[in-house]
Amino acid sequence: MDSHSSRLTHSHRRVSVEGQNDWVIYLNHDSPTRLVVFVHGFRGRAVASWRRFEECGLASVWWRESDLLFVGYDSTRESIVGVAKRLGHELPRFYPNLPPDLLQLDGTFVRAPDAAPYTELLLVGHSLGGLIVRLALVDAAQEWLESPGTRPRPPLLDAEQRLFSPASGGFRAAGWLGFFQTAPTGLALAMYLRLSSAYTDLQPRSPLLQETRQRTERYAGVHPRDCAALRARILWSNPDNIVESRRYDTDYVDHAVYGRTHQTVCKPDRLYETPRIFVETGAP
Amino acid sequence: MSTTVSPTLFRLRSFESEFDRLISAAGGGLFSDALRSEADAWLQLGQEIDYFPTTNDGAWARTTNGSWVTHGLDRDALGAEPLSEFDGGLVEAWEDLTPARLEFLALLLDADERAWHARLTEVVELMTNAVETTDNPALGEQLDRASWFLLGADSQLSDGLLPARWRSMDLATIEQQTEFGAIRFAELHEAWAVAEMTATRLTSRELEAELANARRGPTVMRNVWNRFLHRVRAFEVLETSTGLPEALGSGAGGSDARRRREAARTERTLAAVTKRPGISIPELAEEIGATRKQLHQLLPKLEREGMVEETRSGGWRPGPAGRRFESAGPGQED
Repeated sequence: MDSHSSRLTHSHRRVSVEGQNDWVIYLNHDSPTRLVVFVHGFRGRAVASWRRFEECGLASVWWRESDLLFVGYDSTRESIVGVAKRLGHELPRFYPNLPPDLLQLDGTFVRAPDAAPYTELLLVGHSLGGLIVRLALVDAAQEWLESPGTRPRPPLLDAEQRLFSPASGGFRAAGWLGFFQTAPTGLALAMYLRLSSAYTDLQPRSPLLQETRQRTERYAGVHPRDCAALRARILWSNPDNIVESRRYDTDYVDHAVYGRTHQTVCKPDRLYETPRIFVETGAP
Repeated sequence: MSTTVSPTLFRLRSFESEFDRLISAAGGGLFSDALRSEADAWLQLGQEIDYFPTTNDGAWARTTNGSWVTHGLDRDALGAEPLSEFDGGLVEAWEDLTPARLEFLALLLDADERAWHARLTEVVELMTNAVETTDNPALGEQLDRASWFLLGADSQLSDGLLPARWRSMDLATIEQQTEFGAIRFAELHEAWAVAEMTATRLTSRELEAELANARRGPTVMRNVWNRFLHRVRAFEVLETSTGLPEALGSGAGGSDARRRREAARTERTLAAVTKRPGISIPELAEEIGATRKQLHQLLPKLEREGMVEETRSGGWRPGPAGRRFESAGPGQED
């Protein structure tokens, strides 16, 4: 291994998923033990929305033992259900065993290709990404529980959730336009996207939000051991003008961080280490 | 094939693969050249700070017109942790090139005039249809066709990203660096204004409820909604001014798209006159991206409607009816 790996602990590459090119994996230079999956929010970017998480390996052993998978999707175009289905369908490609071909490009390996399977899976979601994570998990749980003996337990149900200001209670009425202020076509874009399925689905008490909550609480309540993955650990920003701050009854006790906005609550830096610690431990 | 374990060489291979994909998607022409120059600049900078190995067999040839891309490169701007800054910046630069943004930049830089106008016309018509038709089964497809127009100019790049800076500053840079830039951007702004007015007009019935919510919310949202209301009122003034469409020279013979463009130009004229009372025709032409001839035709007609009046020095300011427009402006509603 060359001398640079001690200064930058991961190398990244883009991975193709269902014909798309918007997932990015940061590969540890040593043998990792866990996979941390990040799902961004509305109008976010796969990696940029989580800026500086990729540098956490410089500060913490925990992150030097992790590969980081950043999930991208077009939030202004794709339906929430569609993205959740893709997440549920594609994740088994990466966990518990990473395909060896991801470790090499043109015969050059990022690390020796003999790593053991991952032993931990963390699903980290921000805002809309939090709802997508919840939906993917409850779909996986339902499919498995309703087909007793016919399907193996989905690896997805090994996961632990870490959600930053999840949109599982929907967007606030005025919050929607907040996303469009900086776009040159801001108001036009906002008005046209009111016609999209995401806008309908993110209205408080929409059928999608209500069903996701009811199903999650039912499965997590009736099958607490098998469906522990459905219980989220949540960190809210305070103030948060974008989403309704509602947790599910089956979630762990939630936390809030003061002085961070909806957009910045999930971005660690040298003076704000809370996001890094929250992902590691589940508490701020 | 030999097997090597090297994170830095792996980074280089990943970098080459990603820029090859982007350059290929750019479709040739000036945009591809610019991306090649940008890739070359990233590579040079990355080798200087030992992010990439210095041995490289896949370097891009520097293009002759790359100076406007690489201008101002300075490794000191990467700060105390150049590897992390470089790595984060590189990924951010890639992610900025979404499909919508790639199409936007390719059209802006490489489309000929006919193709450019065809796409602008198409997108305005698509979006009008999208909001006028309820339960439109083709909505998704239509928004896909319009996504370059709605989302392509929306760069989320940080200011300090050196090799990609030309993209985050593209509104100014491309305008200055290309002969057609100024005209193309004026047309683009006009089309955006039309799209915004179309959307605003068709949703105005929902406005009061949204405003009631916004007034209970944070100040920043009140400002957004006030801007929204400003546009609604401007459109209503235009619609209800007696004979205005005819005065604009776009009566029964004019197309709907043409009427909308003219209404957008009128709105921008009124906004500029309100913002800078006494503004001259040359200044106005520059500010709103119209020709002097268009303004020499438009302003006397608006003067007859009482919406503007000429000053003694030959400039233009709001007239009695135009001041109704002024009173609907941002900050007046609370």
